[in-house]
Amino acid sequence: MARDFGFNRATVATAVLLIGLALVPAFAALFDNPFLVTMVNRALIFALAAVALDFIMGYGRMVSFGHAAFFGLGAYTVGILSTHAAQDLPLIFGWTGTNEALLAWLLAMLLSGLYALIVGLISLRTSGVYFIMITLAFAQLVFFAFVSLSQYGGEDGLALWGRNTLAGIGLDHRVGFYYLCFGLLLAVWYLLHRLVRSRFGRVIQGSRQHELRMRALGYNPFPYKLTAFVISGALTGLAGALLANNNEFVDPSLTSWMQSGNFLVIVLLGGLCSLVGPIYGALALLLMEEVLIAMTEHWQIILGPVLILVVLFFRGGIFGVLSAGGGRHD
Amino acid sequence: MQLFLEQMLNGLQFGVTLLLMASGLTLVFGIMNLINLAHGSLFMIGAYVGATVVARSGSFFLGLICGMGAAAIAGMVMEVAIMRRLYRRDHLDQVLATFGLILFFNELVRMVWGRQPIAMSTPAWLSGSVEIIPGIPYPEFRLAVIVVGALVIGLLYLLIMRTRLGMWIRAGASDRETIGALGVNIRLLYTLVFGLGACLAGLAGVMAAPFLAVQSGMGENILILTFVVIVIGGIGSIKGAVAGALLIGVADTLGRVYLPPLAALWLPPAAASNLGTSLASMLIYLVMAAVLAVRPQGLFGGAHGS
Amino acid sequence: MTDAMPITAPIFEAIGLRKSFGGVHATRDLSLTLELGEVHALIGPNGAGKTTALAQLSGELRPDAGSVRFRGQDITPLSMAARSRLGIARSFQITAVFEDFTVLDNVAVAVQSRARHHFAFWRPAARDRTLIEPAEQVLEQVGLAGFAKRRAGDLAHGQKRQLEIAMALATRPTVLLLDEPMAGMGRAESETITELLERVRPNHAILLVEHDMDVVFRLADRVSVLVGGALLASGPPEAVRQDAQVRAAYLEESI
Repeated sequence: MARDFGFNRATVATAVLLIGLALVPAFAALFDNPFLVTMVNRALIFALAAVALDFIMGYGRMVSFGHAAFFGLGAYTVGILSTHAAQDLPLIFGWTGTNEALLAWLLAMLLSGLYALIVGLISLRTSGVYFIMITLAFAQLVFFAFVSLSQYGGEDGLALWGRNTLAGIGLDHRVGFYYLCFGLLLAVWYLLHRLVRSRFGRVIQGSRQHELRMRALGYNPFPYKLTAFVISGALTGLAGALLANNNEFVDPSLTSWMQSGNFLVIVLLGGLCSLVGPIYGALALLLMEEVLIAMTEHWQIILGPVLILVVLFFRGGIFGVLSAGGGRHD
Repeated sequence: MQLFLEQMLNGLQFGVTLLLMASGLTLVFGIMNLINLAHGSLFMIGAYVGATVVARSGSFFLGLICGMGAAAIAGMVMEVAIMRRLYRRDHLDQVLATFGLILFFNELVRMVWGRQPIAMSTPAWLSGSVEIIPGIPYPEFRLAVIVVGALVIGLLYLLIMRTRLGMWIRAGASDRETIGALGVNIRLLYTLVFGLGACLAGLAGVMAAPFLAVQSGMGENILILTFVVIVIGGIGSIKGAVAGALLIGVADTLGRVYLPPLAALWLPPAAASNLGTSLASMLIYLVMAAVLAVRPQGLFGGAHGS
Repeated sequence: MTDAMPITAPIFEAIGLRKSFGGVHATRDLSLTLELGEVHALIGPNGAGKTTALAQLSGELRPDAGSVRFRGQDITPLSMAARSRLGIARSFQITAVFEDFTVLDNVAVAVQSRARHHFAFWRPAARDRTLIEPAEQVLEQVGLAGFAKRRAGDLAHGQKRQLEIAMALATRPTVLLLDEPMAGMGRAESETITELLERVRPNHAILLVEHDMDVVFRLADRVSVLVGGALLASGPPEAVRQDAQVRAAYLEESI
């Protein structure tokens, strides 16, 4: 009974959260604070990446410390394509890039997915700490690659000439873009929600719980894990493409190990293996940062210990506490 | 030829630094099954404390002792306060908690020493050169780093393989209950092992400080390279760690020297220097990818679990 | 010591398996056969190498020498997963169930392994009749029907052992390699499984590693005794029971 109650409480909380998120632009208008929309929008984009990470980390126990690579690849794809389009500069085979989201974002997902395929092919043959270290190293590779792109600003990054257009409609409208990101987050969440419950999801979850048993049942987990990893990478690339539009700026720090760490923080803070948890996690981290920055410029000296306390005493994250005992698998 | 030999030695020197880091990290991982991202912070603490004490006292030796001591103490405090609660936890929890530690230490040094990098001078009595081969001079200090690093690694090997403490450590790695039953204080042993690993990181930090910008965040650069060393060598393999450290040390150093001029053959100078430097940074990761593509378990690793 | 070879080739056969770990010989020149419709018990004192032998038969470990044959085909190079797909199922000595799945889903995953189509991304597996119905039948067989919706991790130890066997059966195997299936079970559960094995015996070839001598002598058509990694004796239960060497090495202490 307690579990049922917890489940209801979590469902109610999530419904309230989603309605609240839908009303953010209205609040912003009411209090005449348009910045609020951009800020929460950023959290939604990070949540999208973190939901994709939770998919492989929570359900498949693939602890990737390199998801910033896919994030950065997505963002740079949009940045580079739109720069070429704006200046009418040939990029490849005389093609001058594009500012159309339908094409640019798809390419962003394709490229991040492709890199995830390469990283996955090598790293998924290992597990545990090896996997953590290798994904981290492959993200560093992308980081230094972006630093070396001096024609796209190198270390200083690249300012976009403007946001993408979606089927010809400009994305400059702050509220319109907010709802687009919100809609994409919900769509990705629903997609992954279906995925983890499908036959494919069963194989992924079974491999997390007992890989040897899966082999004894006749499964070879590798191709399934690789597929999940590529899906996660591509969706993180989509998040990167959105962030490039939100910030109208990309730089190598999107690909730094700190960024990968942030994604891990969001997932664990929100609640591992819940898919919805990362949305709480992204909002909580954002809120925490805003509050701490207002207190001191040395806010990380507080954030660090807070994270340690979360790990030690707040297992299951926000969603885990809400659903009281559900969510987390050990 | 002279440049090449000199750069090989520089690579060796960097490799020794990486090996010191890798030993501490592997020691802690092998025995307590803990992945400690904050190992780089201990390196940073060693560098900062070492540089500061050298600047104030003028004694390099004192700086070395203080840097190692500070790192060891920081490590043991870390172990007692946080790490021992994480030994039986998931690697994911360990990663997140030690990520929090990194944020803390990086901010701490910014508060104490400011945002600007500080420099550390090499001691006067080691600032000359010796001719390792007639006609080829090499800085004494760099040579000293190689010798000291190699000696410490050798001593560590003897400690683990030949002493009673080492036997406990090895036994603790395989069987926590048995060693507990022998009347060894397991908690104290773990704290000491953690302190030992931290001390090695501090030593690496002080010895590398004269060649690096001592600044917040320096620990993570070296930490990630150390990961690459461990991955290439194979976790838990001593031979692998040595081979990985030397490979990465030499590849990184030679890449930094030779890739920019190589790029200049095709590109204008400014672009070439930029591309060359980043290519050098990318080189070691490409080396890692190549090794793993052929041998997923690393050069000397056996089958590995999680 | 060996029994007379049957006229037809055995369905499953191990020939001269050898395995050593760092100089310790865990399996020495082990040969044994399984026939369709028979229960072949493998017994031996603790540390005799029974689990290591089973690991080589199932494909978890590669032998240093020797071969494993199934329906006359050499399957030594095949992985555990590939052997499972051919119809060689195993259960584990240390319970290996998916703790976070329900009991029904544990078996459904096993059913799914035969159904393929693992790259189905959209339809919820929990509502897939083609997975659930066979899974429910198997649960009925092993006596776990009442626990279908329970989380596997919350089962009692004996029930997990039953689930272990259910998962092996759900892959519709020809050969069953069972590693101490009754260990830790209560009397009633043990009885259920013994009866179950009696029922499935006609169209399976069963290798039973077991400590419970009552069960062994009740079920087994043949008994092989493993000591120090090598076969000490093999034959009909009564013959093995009377064997002086076996009595000296093993049975005296356990009966």
